[in-house]
Amino acid sequence: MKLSLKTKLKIIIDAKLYVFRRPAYWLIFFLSAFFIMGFIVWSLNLDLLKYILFDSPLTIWGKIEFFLNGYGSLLSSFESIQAVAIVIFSLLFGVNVSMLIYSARFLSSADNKEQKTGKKQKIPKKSGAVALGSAVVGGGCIACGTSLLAPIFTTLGITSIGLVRNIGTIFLTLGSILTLYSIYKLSIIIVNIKARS
Amino acid sequence: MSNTRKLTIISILFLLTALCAVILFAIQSNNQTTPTTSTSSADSVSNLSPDKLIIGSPGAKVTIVEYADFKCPQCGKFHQTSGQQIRQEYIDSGQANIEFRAYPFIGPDSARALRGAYCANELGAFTDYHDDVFDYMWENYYKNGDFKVEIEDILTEGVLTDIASRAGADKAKFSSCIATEDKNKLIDRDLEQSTKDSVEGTPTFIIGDQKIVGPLPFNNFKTLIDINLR
Repeated sequence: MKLSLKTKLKIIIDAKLYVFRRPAYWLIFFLSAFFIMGFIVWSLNLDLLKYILFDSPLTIWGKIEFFLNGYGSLLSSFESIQAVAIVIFSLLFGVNVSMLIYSARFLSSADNKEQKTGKKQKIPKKSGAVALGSAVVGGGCIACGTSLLAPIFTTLGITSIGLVRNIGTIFLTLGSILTLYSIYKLSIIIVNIKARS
Repeated sequence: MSNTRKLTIISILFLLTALCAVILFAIQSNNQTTPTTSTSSADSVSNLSPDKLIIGSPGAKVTIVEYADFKCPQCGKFHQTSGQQIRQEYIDSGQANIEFRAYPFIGPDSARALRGAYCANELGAFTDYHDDVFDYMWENYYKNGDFKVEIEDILTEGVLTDIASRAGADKAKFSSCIATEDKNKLIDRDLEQSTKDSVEGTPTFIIGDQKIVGPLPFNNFKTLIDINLR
């Protein structure tokens, strides 16, 4: 049965209302979004981050401050559209992780019931993982010509910097769309679990 | 144990695992790139010579190596933001200098503008030329979001000669210098060095034995410079 967009949105909203009724899931949401955003903005400078965190003579607070300062590169390194795409992806990723944990928590008991009826539901792990990969690649296009795709571009002889910049945003958008898909699939699972309980 | 507490523990474990994965990735990538970087930066500090593009005091304690292309918008953005603060706080006070290295790869005029940098250097006007070329690109194009000029030939000999002249270089000597390809060997030398430094784009910086990719906020540069000043 094909669902209308309105129905799909209603399913997602209902599922979110179930999940975010509990404060613990807000915590998971904020932490996940915070760390994934940090991972994306530091993706091209992980060596430097490793040095600062483990080998530099800075105090603990100095190290934390250095890490947090990196978030400022959303303003200094990324073009505004790319910065917005990173923030949107990170927030969606946070929602996705919260819903993933929520549904995983109920899945074992739900599985028992589903196995009896022969309809077992699966958590959409692949779309979430591909979404994360896309976003990291997209976020990697910070500097001119620099991205995690640069070696592939070089091999293929692609040198247009405009293409590299657009690909950064395209991958981030792709990541967000895949995460939305994952959220939708999780929403169906959560709404089904709630309907049966 | 309540469900909420279990859930909190599970989520913390999940995030710690993610953090460990990030750290392991960092260690792995570090093993692949660090040796060339540290060798190069040692060269940078010890071999300061007239055929290098230095902004600030050549004898400064810390050298910030900058690989850049005048046509690169992110390099321009760095020049307008963190670069200005670094100049005010560390370069003007003589604590650090910038060794500018050519990394032409964007437009057909990238190499010409960088060749002009070496010509201006020979005529004692490199720092102003450097600032003026970046300002020219920023004020006329990138500030307004006009990025299509990246691949257009806009930094012509005429434009660069005007900029160099305003920067204090002798117009005739600059014009004659940029028309020849004598300075290309210096650009080739920089490009060779960039390979050793594992540079894949611009702007890339090397401070001490650490590499910074992209125009990070000033405070990140400040921390690294301060560590090297100790």
